[in-house]
Amino acid sequence: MNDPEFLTLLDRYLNQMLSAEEFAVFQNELKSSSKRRNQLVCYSHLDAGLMEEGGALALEEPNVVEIVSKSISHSVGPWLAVAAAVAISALTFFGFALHENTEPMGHGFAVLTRTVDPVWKSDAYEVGGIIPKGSLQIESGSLQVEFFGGATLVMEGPGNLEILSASEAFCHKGKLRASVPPAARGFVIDTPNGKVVDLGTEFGLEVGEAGVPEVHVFEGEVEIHNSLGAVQTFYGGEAGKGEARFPADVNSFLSTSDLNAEVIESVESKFSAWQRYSRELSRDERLIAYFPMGNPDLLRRRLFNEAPTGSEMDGAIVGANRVEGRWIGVGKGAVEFTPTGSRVRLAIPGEYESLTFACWVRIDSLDREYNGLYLADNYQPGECHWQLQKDGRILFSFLHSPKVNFKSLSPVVWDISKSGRWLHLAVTLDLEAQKVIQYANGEVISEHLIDEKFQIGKTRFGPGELGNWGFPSSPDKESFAIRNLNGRIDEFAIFAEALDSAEVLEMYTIGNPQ
Amino acid sequence: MSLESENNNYEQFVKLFSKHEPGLRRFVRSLIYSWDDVDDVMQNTGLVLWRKFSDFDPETNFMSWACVVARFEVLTWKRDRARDRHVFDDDLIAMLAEEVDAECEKLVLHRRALDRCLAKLPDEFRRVVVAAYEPGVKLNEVAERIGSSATGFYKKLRRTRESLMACIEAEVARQEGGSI
Repeated sequence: MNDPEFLTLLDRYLNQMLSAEEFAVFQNELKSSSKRRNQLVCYSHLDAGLMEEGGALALEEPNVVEIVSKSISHSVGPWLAVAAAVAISALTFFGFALHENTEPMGHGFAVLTRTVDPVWKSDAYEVGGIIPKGSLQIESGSLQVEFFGGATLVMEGPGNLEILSASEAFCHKGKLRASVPPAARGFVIDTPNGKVVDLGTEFGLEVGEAGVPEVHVFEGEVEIHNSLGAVQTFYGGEAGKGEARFPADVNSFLSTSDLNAEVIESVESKFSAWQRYSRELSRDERLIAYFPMGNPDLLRRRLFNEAPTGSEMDGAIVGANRVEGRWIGVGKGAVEFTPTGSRVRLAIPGEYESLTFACWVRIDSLDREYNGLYLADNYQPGECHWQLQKDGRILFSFLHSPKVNFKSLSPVVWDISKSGRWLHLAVTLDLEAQKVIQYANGEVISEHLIDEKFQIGKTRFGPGELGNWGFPSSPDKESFAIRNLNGRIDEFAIFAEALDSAEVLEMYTIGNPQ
Repeated sequence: MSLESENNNYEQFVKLFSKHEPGLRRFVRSLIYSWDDVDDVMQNTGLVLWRKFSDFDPETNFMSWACVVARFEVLTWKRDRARDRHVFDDDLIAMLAEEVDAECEKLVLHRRALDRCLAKLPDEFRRVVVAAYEPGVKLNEVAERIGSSATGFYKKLRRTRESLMACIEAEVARQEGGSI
């Protein structure tokens, strides 16, 4: 029996779906091969492990209940039906627990704050991400980690650091520079041959193949506790390894300011690559409107359309703040929609056979039921809405005819752990293929065929806005819905065609600030 | 035995048993086809372990002792099920028990890695795990409720298990590599 055949039987075994005949075949196969027995044992343990964790996972599942209460259009993949079924059972089984445990929880001990060209050997983390207990290992490049306890470490690759707590780490190998302000005093780095205890200072540490720590103290005081309990103390300017003593060499360890300089250099080169791409893109005849937000323009309330369609498509900034964009320190702008009245008004005439929306967005939190990206004011037949739901899914919809609403709902792309990080989102509406494809960070996240009863021939925009929805449309109607996005939009493009996946990926890759 | 020492004994037993219960259940699961039967055997094993707890030498390993008892309970349970054709024969049960014993350290690492792999699991797979492994829910009922897409669900469940296993193996290999 070959591997796939056996794995199929094994899978059916775990699901308790084997017929008596299949069971007999399965048993013979197991008896004849120790490799097969090992596979069974491993998978049975996995099965039991999942049984242990299943309940906890069900509780973590965000807002599954919501899916049930909404009608789901036919065009949405069969998977949602499963999710809905799950939601019903989760609801009935867990009852109130789903509602009681609503405070969001973070997990981890430190934050990754800077990286320069890291080549990861462990799981990769993004800048801004919270790092849990466990290994942080790079082949090359460098990174900066800020512990919740207050210490900052700069690590140069190759290095292997294990995060143990908010104020302790184990350095298996590599070169580190620690900066420990008074509030973080007592920060400990373990090494294979002794603990380095910081008494409030700045020091460098190198652990080579032999595992013996070499310590350089630049300022303050550091103790090394060896496994026998002996303590050696080093003061500013002193360095040592084993029994050897020598002067500390401040230049041989990358400092936070060195790292900052490297980060700026790398940001500048990425930014200028994007600038070239963006200039090229702005000549693309398929563009309806393109807001690269290349300059911060802090005081201007007009958002320049750089597409060939020109100033007629400029946006009007209302209430929103002009802020720094996704690259730090290069003078790139973005628009922040945090004040509730914030929006960028657009007026786009015409009818189109297809469209693409694409933008970079930094979501700080999803406070509203719906959080706007682009929404047409009146939502007339043929007009679109592109927004984020509170549960972290993206909803793209258009109106077919009064009350007949097509919806494409993506999987969850955002949760609170991604707060403050930049995300590239895109959606294409292809009326030739009658298909909606959603993208996040250059990858397809959902693909929905438009069922015949929802199909439209043309799409249009009319008056609409970025970052909010709810327009007080007449003098006696001053109340409006609030769908402002608590976050920033940087670079927004609208095309009159459905871009293909390679083009969306290119936009993401070249525009990615990390 | 005085009442006090019996209480102490009981406390010690509860401590040890609750610590090792999940591991023991994983062991039993490796020998038995149906989860319902695993639960029955576990229940009996718990009783027998408590009854025989005075024989247990605290200097030795509770888990190995408990596995011996559990294996015996599996055979006892099996005798009542002679006609059920979804039961492994005694030879295979012995072989599997040896396999678990031989791989015991690796399986502990696997279990630890599973937590990390679950944390990294993409949402679409996570939902499959929630559906299939929610306490008190039977797989065939879940599939029935889903109706026509049940086949798709089973496929997805298989992919979920396989990708978790691949992640676990990579995770364990990396830890072994990293600790050198």
